[in-house]
Amino acid sequence: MPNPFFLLCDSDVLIQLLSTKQILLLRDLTRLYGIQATIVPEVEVEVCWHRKFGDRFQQNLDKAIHANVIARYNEKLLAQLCGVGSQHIDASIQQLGAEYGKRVGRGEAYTFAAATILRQPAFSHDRDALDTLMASGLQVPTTVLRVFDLLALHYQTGLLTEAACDHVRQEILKVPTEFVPRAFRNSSFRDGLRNFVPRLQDCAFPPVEMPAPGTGPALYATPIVLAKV
Amino acid sequence: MLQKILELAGFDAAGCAGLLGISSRIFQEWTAGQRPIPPSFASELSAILGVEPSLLTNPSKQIKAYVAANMTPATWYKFRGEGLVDADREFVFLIRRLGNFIGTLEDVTQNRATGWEEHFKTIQANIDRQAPPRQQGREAARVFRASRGLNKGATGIGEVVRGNLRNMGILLVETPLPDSKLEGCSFYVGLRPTERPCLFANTHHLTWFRRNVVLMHELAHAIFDSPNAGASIDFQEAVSGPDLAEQRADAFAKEALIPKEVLRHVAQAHGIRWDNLSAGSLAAIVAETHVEQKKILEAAFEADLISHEQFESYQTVNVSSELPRLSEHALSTQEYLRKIGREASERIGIGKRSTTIPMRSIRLPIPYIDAVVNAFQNKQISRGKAAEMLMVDEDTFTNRFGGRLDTFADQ
Repeated sequence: MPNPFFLLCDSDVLIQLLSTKQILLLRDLTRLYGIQATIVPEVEVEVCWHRKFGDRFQQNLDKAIHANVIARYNEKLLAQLCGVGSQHIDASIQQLGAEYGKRVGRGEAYTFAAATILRQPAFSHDRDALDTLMASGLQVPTTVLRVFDLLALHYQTGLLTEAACDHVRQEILKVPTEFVPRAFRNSSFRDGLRNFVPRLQDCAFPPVEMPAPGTGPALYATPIVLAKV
Repeated sequence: MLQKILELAGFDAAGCAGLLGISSRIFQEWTAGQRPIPPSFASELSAILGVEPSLLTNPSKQIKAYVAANMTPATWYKFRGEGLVDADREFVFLIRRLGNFIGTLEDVTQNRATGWEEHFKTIQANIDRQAPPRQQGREAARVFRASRGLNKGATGIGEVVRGNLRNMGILLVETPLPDSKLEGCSFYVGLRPTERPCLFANTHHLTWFRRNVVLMHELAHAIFDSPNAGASIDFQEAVSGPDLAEQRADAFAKEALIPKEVLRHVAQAHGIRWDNLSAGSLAAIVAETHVEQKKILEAAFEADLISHEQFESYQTVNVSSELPRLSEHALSTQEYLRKIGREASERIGIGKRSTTIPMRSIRLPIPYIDAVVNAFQNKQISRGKAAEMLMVDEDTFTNRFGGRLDTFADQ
């Protein structure tokens, strides 16, 4: 299966990456795998003025956009992927986003709508939004990645050391309301990996140690195996 | 551009961004046409500002025609008027935003409160338009009381009328606006075909007994005037003059709350004689009818229950020391909280009603808050959406209302 083209990023993961100064991890996805981290306008609005953090992340988000670490979703970008017919696809995304937006926050709504229509992964910690959409019988992206999936990939491929990954884990844990998968809440990064099923792996490296599959992954947890481009 | 639309409505970009709780820089780029307005925001802004969404997303030619024709929506035209301040317009902005959220919530929960339109038509059809305004108001109030089942028992309706109006789909907002001279107003919110009337009473320096009068007065405006005028605005200290609409609304409020049969019944039930009213007996009438002293005396005089001399004399009677003993509606907030205790105050949501995101805080109606929290509990909306609808951040939402009863497992 080819690598995804886009990774549709939600506000909460971007804020986690920006606050731990790890936003450049997204650049590796583009450089090595051809995956462009992308944000819908609604997410940019949310990150530029966050209800809790104010405009703390606006400047660094701008920098990431200008450095092409993150791309703004727009029709031009869509045309690069879809070519002719991108207008119709954009209209479908807007329509689905409006439908999702009745039930979940604006950023999640349009991020998940774009990921669903384009069949690309989303990058979000908002499980509550995903479960709300599923409870309403609405489709959700097949893969929704977490920041720790990105860390696990970097660890698997040797781009980040175990110590560096654990440092990020500790930085995130400093903010009590930030999402950290249960496996990593009271365990080091290395120990946590034993109880964590990463949704992103590089096919050229041995897989990271992971627990035996349980009752089967949630609908949005289909793993992606990447190949370098 | 959006900038022109905002100017015509009496706003600046920074103020609007603050009211929406978004980045001022991005909003200014939208207003200047430097960045397209995402359709999700265009839709919300169109509902708030009362313009077509296409005007915000495809401005160019349409906007020139709009500006040239000064096509300011009627509501905003009214709220630019004399005596009104930024706080008033900002408040209306937030209420229209609330109206939009209510439409969405009703859509998601499939639970739409309707009926106001039908009732308004019935009332309008049953009055003689050529009759004097006060007579029109009284007739309309009688139809209103009968059609809403409020004429049974000949007693005060202040404690039930809010729920009654909300069941019809009318939005009622009572919040303090300390910077404003507004006493009450009515206007329409929401997008067609799900628009609804909104009645507002300023709680700053207004007693509950006075607010009942204000709300009924605004209801009359919503029935007869606001659909065409865009909004009806009433200031504190204003006296009903010769204006037809004001006379009709004043008569409607009195007849809806304290028709002659209610005044007579309350007096009889308490052994009160109209020719010998004391502070205690007048306080009892206020407590039972749920209406302020001044309006009771006006209504009693108009119903020939008291003479003009008695009307003048009774106005000097001070019921303020007697009333708190007879009605908890006369208690100050602190006195009320002491009386009901902490548990009860938490149950009814005291301290959980104010918005925190917009730069101007408003107090949301309890039934609306309950509907949002229930929709969240029933997984019809996410925590983020619930917080957005209550205009608070997610942490505040969780602190105030907790999580879902069946909390999700780890992602």
